[in-house]
Amino acid sequence: MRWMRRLWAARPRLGPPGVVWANRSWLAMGVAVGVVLTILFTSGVQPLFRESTEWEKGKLLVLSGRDQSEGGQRRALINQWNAEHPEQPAEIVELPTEADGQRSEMVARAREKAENADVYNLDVTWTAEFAQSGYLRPLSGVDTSGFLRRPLESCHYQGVLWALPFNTDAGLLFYNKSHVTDTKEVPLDLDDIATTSTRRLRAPEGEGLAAGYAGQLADYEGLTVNALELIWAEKGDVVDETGKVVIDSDRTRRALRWLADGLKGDKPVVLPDSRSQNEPLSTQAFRDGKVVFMRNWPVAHRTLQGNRGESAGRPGIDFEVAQLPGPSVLGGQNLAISAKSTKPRAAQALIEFLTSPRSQQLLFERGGLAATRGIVYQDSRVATEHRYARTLLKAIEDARLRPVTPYYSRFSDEFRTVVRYALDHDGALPSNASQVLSAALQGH
Amino acid sequence: MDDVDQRRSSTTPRYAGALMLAAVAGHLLSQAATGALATWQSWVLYGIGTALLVLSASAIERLNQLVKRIRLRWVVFTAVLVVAAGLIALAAPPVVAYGRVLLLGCPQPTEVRVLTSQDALPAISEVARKFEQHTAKEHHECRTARLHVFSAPADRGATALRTSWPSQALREIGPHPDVWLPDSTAETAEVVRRAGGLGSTVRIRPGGSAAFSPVVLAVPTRIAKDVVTGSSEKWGDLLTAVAGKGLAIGRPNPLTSTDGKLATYALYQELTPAVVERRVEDATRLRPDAAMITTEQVLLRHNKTSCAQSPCLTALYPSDTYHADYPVNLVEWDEWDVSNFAAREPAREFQAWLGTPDGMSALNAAGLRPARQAAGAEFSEEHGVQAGLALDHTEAAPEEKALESFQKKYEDAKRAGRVWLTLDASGSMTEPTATGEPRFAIAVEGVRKALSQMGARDTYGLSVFNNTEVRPLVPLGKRDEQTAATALSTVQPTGGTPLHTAILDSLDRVGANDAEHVSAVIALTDGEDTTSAQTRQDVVDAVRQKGIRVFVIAVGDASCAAHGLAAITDTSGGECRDSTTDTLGDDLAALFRKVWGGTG
Repeated sequence: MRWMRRLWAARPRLGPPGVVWANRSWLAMGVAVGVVLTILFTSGVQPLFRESTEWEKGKLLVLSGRDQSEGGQRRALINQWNAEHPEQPAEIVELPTEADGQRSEMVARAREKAENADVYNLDVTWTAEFAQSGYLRPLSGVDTSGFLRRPLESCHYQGVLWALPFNTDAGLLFYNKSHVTDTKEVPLDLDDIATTSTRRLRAPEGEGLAAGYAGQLADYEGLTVNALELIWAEKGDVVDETGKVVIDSDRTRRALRWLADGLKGDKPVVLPDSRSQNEPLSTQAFRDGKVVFMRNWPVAHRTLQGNRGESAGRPGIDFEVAQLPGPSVLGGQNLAISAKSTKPRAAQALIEFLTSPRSQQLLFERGGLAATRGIVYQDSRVATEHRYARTLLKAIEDARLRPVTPYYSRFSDEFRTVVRYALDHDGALPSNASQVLSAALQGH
Repeated sequence: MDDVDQRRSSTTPRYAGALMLAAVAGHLLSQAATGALATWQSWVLYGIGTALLVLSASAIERLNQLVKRIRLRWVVFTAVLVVAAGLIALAAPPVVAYGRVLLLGCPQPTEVRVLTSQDALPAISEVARKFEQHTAKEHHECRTARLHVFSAPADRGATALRTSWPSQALREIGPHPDVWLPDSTAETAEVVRRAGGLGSTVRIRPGGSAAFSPVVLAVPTRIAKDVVTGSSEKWGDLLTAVAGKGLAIGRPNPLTSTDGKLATYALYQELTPAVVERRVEDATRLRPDAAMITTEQVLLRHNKTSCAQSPCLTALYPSDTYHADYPVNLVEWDEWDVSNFAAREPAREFQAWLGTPDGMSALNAAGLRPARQAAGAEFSEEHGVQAGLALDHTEAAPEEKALESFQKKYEDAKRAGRVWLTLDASGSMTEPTATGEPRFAIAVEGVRKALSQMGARDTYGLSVFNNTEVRPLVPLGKRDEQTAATALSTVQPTGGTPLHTAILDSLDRVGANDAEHVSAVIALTDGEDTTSAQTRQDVVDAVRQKGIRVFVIAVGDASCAAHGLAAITDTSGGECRDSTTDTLGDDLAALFRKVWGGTG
């Protein structure tokens, strides 16, 4: 303490005591020091605590499944970004086509300490898992107006925005126009499908038909999607909005019984082969005229149209699409920033570029990937070239998310076991269905 | 003095409490800023933690007063501290873990990637699911590992591992494996040697065999009774007897598959290689009306799952047969971005678990035979297999040197490939790809590349199809790849797609298999048939009758499944591949290698 007192006593005295504050030069010097200090603080110290808005430089790694768009449009967009932003070039690390393999590699890379990813292209059902595990960085300062409501909803988890929707998808009901001639006959519920199917199967022109309806009931994610949609069509549900399992209801049972009963019989309503079919195989059954109705993703439209343009007038299959009797399951992929990325601002800029109206239009028009922005569907060229665009937009607006849980794949596995049991037991649920599914939602 | 002590004892904890509160506030802010506290559950946990911390600070004061009344307080204090620390160390982790599970749900399981062969995939997947359930037992019903089991066709997995899993493997086979479970230990040895080399980023720790499955001859059950005499028979005897019944005998590629290799090696010991090669044909899957060289587990699973009246096929066990022995190798990556270090522990656990009674029962139930456990109830006549085995060889495979000389014998004895290639020249082939080149140009380049790997005795012919006609460009014969490229450069794609007519025409031109040749048709198309007079069924019938393998490569708008192209190729043991303009060259090359009998 004493040394401080000494220091104070030894302070320089500039002028007689009492006159100090009247001395103008003293005042001026004080102001000058104050100004210098303020300038130093605002330009030197403050910026250290304020986030820069400049994009970081360096390569941006995008982990994504293989580019399935027509003519590699995703890659074309990345090339365009690279031409415009040579200091933040993006590179796609292409992962396996199969979703499970993609997820596996992404999760393993996300767990590494190394900075090995800037952007993830996530399936809509993975957002919760990646967000909860801390693999993602929340987005901030993004203008999300203009995105379709449902796809954008799939980018949120626990009220936080984790991603932006890259492309979306919704199931459609394809029908063979040689059997459904009147638009009034387009089914509004499951009973309509059964009635129309039975009538067509019995009619003389229904000779070539094997069944009324085809879906994807093989044991993979397709079964989860198809079963959920059928249950929703009967106004039943599996998991409600609060996250509670409500599978044990009459409406759910009725939907499952419709499916189980439909698969039986000589001229069944539901094509029995559906139980071993995925999307392309259903398309083949529909294309070969075996069924009146088919549930499929819009990409089947492209496959069915295919190269019909060069058929020299020979008739192919005449079909039309409608909305499913109930809400569709929402499909698609979202772009998110890796929590490890040291270039979050550049990564966010890349994501915003890829989901911008212009990029979305290109991806839809040339690549055939359903856009996540409403404005794209209003384009006159899109409306004429993709006849189904209007129906698809409605289907996406009405679509529902699969149960949102970080343990989605566990849930889906268990749900399929329940559905397979129901199909083998006339639509009856296993006695422990609710417990098993509730546990699966918690990851057990 | 007393006064000072009093003050100290009362203010220090307060300072400590204030300091802790400040620290917590700071930490809270930083956590909230990074978004770590995104859920209400995490806020609750954070709140509990903070309360504990602050309470403990004020508790020190009370404790201090209490302690003063104790004699030898430092000794007692230390003892209490040690006991408390011990208790906390023991009890805290399980209590915290359980609390976490209750509040937040299970922690995400560690991802373990398991690479196996296409034949073993269904069985290993089944076993992996049981292991996952096993990991949940001691972790509050939370699985600690998730096994992603995937397979690579033929020897592509081994090749990819040898070359440190290049980006093409990542795209086309699957993620970087943490466990490699191939069909045979013989397959592992070479990869382990090559992978350990300079510049390699992969280390393979060879493991022991988990279980085995003998290589058998699967025959339709009605034939089996006529062929078996009761005494022990060798591969040569059985092949001769089955061929005598007029049955086609399928064999997987002996250069790339374990079962094909081991059976062919044994056959060459008894019969002349040329005789063997004329009696077998290439096949990759079981058929109800043909015999096939395969492993017992494949046959058992086929009878159990995809067979209307059981058993469809019966296993014949040659006394001199070898077996697939499924070693469980651990794979470690040294690359900075893909090491997946977390998977090493669960991968080792999986390896160890396979040797426990639970693991062995799971293997047994999946159709495999663990060495130290008797065959389970699945192994019965009802499923076309036998429980007890009487085999000459105890070793899984012959010596590596012997296998090398066998390879040479096979190359000399195999029949020459005779391929007719027919290309789509319809209007849609002019469509530009991502690089700007039209599809047709990319196809021509792919053909040129693929033809460059022709063997010395192999031959090919070439045609293009559009509108309603098929135009032969190069007649069947021994020519270099330039001939095809030159002929194709004159073609202007336009018009429809008479795919069916083209395949039927190609079947006629290439001719059936004979003693010296194996025939095949390869068709490349970017759409479904639009202008043929013949239906798909006509093509299927012709292919079945002629027994010539048909391969189709589908690009652009074409789809193997959706357009029923696979229905044509499956009839004859061929294959349909969905390809993209990026991979067209590689896919064509792989098909040509396959039909010319090399490593596909």
